[in-house]
Amino acid sequence: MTKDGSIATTAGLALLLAACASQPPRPTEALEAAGIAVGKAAAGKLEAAAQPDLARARDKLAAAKAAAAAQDYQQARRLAEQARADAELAMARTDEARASAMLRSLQAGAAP
Amino acid sequence: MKHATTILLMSGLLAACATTTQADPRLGLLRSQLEALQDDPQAGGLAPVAMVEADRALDAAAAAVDDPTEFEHRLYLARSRIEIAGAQARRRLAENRARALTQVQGPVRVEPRPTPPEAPLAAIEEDPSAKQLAAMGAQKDELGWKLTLGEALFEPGQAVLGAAATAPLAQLAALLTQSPQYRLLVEGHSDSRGKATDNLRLSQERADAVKQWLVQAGIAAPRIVTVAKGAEFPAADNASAEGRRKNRRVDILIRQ
Repeated sequence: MTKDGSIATTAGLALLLAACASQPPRPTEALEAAGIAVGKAAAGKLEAAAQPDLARARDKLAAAKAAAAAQDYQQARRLAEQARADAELAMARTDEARASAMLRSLQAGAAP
Repeated sequence: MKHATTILLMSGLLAACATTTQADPRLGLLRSQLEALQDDPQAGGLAPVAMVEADRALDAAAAAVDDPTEFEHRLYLARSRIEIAGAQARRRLAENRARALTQVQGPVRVEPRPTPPEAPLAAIEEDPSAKQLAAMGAQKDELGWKLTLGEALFEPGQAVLGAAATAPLAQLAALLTQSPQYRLLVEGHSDSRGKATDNLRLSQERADAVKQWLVQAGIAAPRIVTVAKGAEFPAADNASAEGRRKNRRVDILIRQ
């Protein structure tokens, strides 16, 4: 009984592990979207406050590509999704900073 | 014995799962941050799409509590989406306030400038940029100039600038470069098809597309303010395809 039982549990555990380890597909879309977002953020002039976000986005995109090359698709997807969010945050911060600068200059009545 | 160890191990695993299932305090914190943003009386409604995305990201995080790695990942995404939504809302608020200022200040600024009563035409002749503006097809209005980009500019539901925009925008960029006193108020418009909220967003994206084009042409972004007008200010009758095509436009108000 104990032997059979432990075999069954071991088999159950092995199954569980296999399920965890089963490889998701290559996150092609997430990688592409991250590449586009990082490219967009890098193409426009970013405000200083947004530079760290872009730096993070670039690092993560590179790491995502490396993970995809190493066929760690789970990790690649996460890194790509975070890279995209970081890049979009960089752009949002930049837009916000510019709009408030515009408002301040108008409020001051200063010429641009 | 061996069996007992396995059971112990498995219950340990389950216990680990159970502790993470108890609501992570960070989830509640992010949720209240997002709610505070949405409930902000001034900026709350200004970034509806980003708010929905933040909401979804937070739900996705809540759904992944059983997988610690995925949970941390989604928590990160949710935090980012909330920050993006906040930044967008504050940006729109600043833009709206700037717009209100240009509208209030416009006449006040123009008034003190002593212009000889007989001379509006002569003034146009003297100002070289005015000649250029007239040549570009800009119309003089009470506060400055208005240039409408409307001929085959946007496809229905799209905010991608058509090829017809290149020539006038390039001329405008040249003018802005040589005449630093000008600022732009870019108003995006849509036709009346579809939902009002979608049209508002679309018209914002159209105005943003024009701004982005000019910024990439080297014009300082703070000189350009964008405004979404939705379908409320048609230039032509929305009943015909031709009218709707004319309504999918951007009005550029050129102010000193």
